[in-house]
Amino acid sequence: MYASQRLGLKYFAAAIVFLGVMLVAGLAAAAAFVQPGVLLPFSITKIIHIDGLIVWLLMGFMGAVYWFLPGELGCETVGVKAGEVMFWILCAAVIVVFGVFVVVQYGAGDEFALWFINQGRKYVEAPRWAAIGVVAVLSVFAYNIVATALRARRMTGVLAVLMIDLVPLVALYFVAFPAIDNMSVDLYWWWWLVHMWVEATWEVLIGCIVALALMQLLNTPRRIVEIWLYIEVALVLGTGILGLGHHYFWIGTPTYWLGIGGLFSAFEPLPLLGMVVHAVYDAGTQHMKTTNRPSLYWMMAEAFGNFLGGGMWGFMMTLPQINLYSHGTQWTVSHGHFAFWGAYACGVLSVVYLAVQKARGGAEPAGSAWKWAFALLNIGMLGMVGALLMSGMAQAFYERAIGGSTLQAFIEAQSNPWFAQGMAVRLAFGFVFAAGYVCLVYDLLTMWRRKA
Amino acid sequence: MDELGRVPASVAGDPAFWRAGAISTTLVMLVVLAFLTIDSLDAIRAGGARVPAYTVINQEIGYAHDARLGHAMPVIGGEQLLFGRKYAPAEAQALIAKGKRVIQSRACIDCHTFFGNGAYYGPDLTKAWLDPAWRETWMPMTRQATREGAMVEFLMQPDRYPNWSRVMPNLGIDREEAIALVAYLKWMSAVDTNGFPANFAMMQQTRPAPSLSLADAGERAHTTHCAACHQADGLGVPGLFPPIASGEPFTAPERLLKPLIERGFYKDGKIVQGTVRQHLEIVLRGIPGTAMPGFGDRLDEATIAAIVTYQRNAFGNRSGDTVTADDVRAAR
Repeated sequence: MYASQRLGLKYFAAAIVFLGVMLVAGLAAAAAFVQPGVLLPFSITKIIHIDGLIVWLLMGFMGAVYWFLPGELGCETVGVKAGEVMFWILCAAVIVVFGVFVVVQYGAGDEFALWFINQGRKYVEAPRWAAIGVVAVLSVFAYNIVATALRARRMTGVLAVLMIDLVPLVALYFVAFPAIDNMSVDLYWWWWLVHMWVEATWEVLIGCIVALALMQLLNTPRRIVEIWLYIEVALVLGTGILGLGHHYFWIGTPTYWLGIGGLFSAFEPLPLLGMVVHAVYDAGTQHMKTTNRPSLYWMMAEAFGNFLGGGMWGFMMTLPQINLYSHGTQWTVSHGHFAFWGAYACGVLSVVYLAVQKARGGAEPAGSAWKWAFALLNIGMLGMVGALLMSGMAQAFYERAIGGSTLQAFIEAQSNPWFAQGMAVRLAFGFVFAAGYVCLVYDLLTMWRRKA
Repeated sequence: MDELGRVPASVAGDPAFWRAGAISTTLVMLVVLAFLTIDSLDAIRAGGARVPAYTVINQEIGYAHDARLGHAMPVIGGEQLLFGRKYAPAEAQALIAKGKRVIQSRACIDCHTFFGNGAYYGPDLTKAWLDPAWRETWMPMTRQATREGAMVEFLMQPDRYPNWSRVMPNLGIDREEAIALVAYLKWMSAVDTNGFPANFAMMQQTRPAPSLSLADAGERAHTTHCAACHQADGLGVPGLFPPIASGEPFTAPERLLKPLIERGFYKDGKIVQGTVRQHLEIVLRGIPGTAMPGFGDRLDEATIAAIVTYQRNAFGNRSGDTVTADDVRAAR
């Protein structure tokens, strides 16, 4: 095994741990809707939940690339040592940042708070010192990939896409630093980071990772994989770059964004539909035969989850005429959960299974724990998504459409039985999801302990 | 292409063809985005076509339906000073900058939303300056004569002036920071948001239909006006909002218990049913120094009568009392 692959496994292990952290924070946040005022303030649990999401997915992505890179290029990754140092720095930084969130929580309205406690911008709450750390980690990651390709004097289509994608991955993160006075301008740039990472850069990155995984999982020919990847890039960026406009409906930006954002984001499901076709087609040509069923199942969950959660759930609320009512309600939360789960989480889990199997000699995963994990995690997620959608639609109706969007309308909608039931059901399915997580950890540890 | 218009397999099967497609599509989109960004940034600078200058905090800000657009728009009126002083452009800029840092340092966006972006645990703050709740709830509750005064008092001690079971935590906001926050919210309410959030403050308050029986009207009014704190089942929230159901235990700080004891609603650690006169007194005038606001100038006599009648006969309270609108009028 290459040192790069061992580093990849470390990233996977940390990713699964931080998935657990975000899960616990998520349960606490969900509970606050049912019974307010337990334990931490809602904002702190929410921050750890969404920042933990970013952390574990980024770790999963980096782990996947460190895992696949030597195989793709036929040589050891350049700078594995630096990558390893960065891994430990990242883990330590996340723990310190989360610790400060829990213990200190907030500072006074000055620069000190922004540098050392909390930047208070959604998804990029991490204080500036930690954001510098993220830039360093991503830079080393990018350098290692480019330097390895240069040393190997080899280039593949998948790697070329990956390397170009690294530029916006690092560059966009610089949006995490400034504190712009004007909220409209602040959010304008903030969406460049949040949308362009999640709905463009990350989609391309996971596309590359899925391409690399499919070649191993189903022996799909490289030519097919690369054609699909290019089509996906064209569709993702062709719809997603101006699809950015669906975040510019209500932040003060000009009215033309209603048309542009609505039109282009209506097409955003296309690449995701393409991915489903691609995955199903490939699996069909192989008659679903594989040596790693958990990984294939998660890959199928990725394809369908991305299309349904990202594509359909997003489409459902993206036209401005609907978004006026749905924006910023639990409807958004339903879409957010389903999309991140389908587009990224399932893909990372697929690669984790692939890597753990290879690291343990390639024997087919046995036992039924992986089935329990797969079923409970997906049922838990679907249950949460459905419950949130119910609450979100009730909220859009009672708070916005007939309530008039005031504080009183907000309170009345949140107290509405349909809304309240949805939140209780969401919490219940959160526990189902947590049970699935326990099965997942148990299964991965069992596979890991098996002799190579 | 052949005569049937089919693309030969040699091109469609060639990755280079699709690569060229991916690159050119991406470049075209990026160029379009660059032009739109230049235009948008000009429109949303403070003082641009859609975002007001920071000195708008010296003016009255209204919100009215625009028939041509089909949604409500901010209306900038004449001078209406904030905290009784007129801010020069540089002062207004400094105040807004301070307000933004308070918003970030307290991570307001991780409970609330701004322009609908953020977390969904607290209300959206886009038009918070215009929310009727400051006048209806917090001005009486904080005993302040102005909206901005009530906002400052609330922001400094949100846990002392709760209006709901989800109590905003005390985030150590000092007076200077609270003033900056209020200025920020006032400025933000004047941004043209294409009518978001929908129908803001444009809807009539739902009122009990006249044909409802007294009990139904009372239950509905209780749910609308009282249940956010005292809960629909009348059991309140431990430590914060007392139950209305007599016989229920309630523990809370002395500050909250004392007025209940004085008015005859609390004895030996439990809620007891006080007199009709005292009940009406509390509903009409609130309890000073606590979160309980007076409803005398917000609800009509029939609604208050329905609420008090309902509360005295629901949740296991069996007084048999019927309170009429005339009783309420007499108590006023």
